[in-house]
Order: sequence, then C-alpha cells, then structure tokens
Amino acid sequence: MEILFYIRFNFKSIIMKTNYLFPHKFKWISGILFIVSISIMLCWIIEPDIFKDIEIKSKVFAIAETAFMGDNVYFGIIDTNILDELLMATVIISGLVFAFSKEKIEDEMTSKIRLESLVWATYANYLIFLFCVLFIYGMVFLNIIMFAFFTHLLFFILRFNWEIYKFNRTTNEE
Amino acid sequence: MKNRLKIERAIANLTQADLAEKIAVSRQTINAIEAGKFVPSTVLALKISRLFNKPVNEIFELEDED
Repeated sequence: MEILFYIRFNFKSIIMKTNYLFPHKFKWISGILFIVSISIMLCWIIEPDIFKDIEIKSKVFAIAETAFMGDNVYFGIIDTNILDELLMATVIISGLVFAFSKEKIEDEMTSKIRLESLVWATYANYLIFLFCVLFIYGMVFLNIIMFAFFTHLLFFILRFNWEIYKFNRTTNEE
Repeated sequence: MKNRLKIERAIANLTQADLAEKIAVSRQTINAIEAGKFVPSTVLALKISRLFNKPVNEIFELEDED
C-alpha cells in the first residue's frame, strides 16, 4: 500500500514537472544547426536551382507519391533525391530543440516569456500569412505556404531569444 | 499587487543574487518581482515567505485595481 502511494506520488510529481523542454546543453549545438539549415532552406525556396547539381539518390518508403507523369504510388518503395528531405528534417528537428530547450536558469519568468513569445509569434505568422492569402496570387503563393511552415518557429525563436536577451540584461541591483 | 520584497531583503541583508539562489530562480526574476513587473506564483511566494519567516500577506499585498 505504501509502495502504491509512493508510485502514485512520484508519478504525480513527474506529471506536474513536465514542461516539454529539452536540456539547456542542447541549445547552442541545435542553434548553430538551425541557423545554418534554415538559411540554406530559405535560399532554396527562393532560388530552387542552386541545388540542381547535388543529388543524393536513395530508395525510400513512401506512403504516397503523386507523379507529374506516370503512376501514383501508395505504400511502396520509390527512388528519389532525398536532399530536400534531409534538409527539411534538419530544420524541423534542430528548430524544435533550439526553440524549446531550457534556459540556463529556468524559472517561472522564463516560462512566462516563452508563452508570451509563442503567442506573439503565432499572431505574427498568421497575420502575415493572411495578408499573403489576400494579396499574393499565382505560383509564388506556393513559396509563401512553404515559408509559413518555418516562419512560425523562426518568429518564435527570434522573439523569445530577443526577450530573454533583454531580460538578462536588466540590472539595477539595489 | 505590490510587495515589500526589497525591504525584506534589505532587513535580511541579502542581495538579489543571494535571494535568487536560495529560491532557485534567476537574479533578473527577483529584480522583475521587486520592480512590480512580474507576479510570482503561489509556490514562489510561499518559498519567499518561508525564507523570511513571515506570512505571505506581510510581503505581498493586493492593490485596489487587483
């Protein structure tokens, strides 16, 4: 009975302390990776030709592939250039880790700054996207959709780190 | 909400950094609380009250607009 209580208690304390964040030590390595990969990514969206000579051909499992010409493939093995998959996976993983790793001293103030930055970034991203929906037409709109995927995370990262930077600079001891 | 944190801290002869370390927050957070820019959680308020050995009400006080 006592053990049961102990397990329940610990379980509860684990649940209550969950904040879905990565350890602080991941912040800088993922940050460097994110900045490099998203820069390449954004260049690529703007100018797709820069990587036309680099190919990493591989056979991969695909849930679906709709071809411009030929048959569609569902749940099959396809042959494709996986450079864009690798790049996008790097952006997403390093971006998430960088965005959501703990600060050096993680306390309720940093949580508050994080939450406010997330709200801000969500508004900023969707308002800009709404603007683009209303005023941008044609093929370039596809680029906008691509951008919008990454800019949410990007806006959050920029806003949060700027706010943390300002916060850490506050000094008026005594 | 207003608070007497700065005064209590002076009575206890603690710097912002000392207090921050004792209750496991950053010095800037203490600074923000003292400046009235940040309202601490109940847990943090209770930790501060335990540290100064005074009731929470004596350190933190509601204002008319709260």
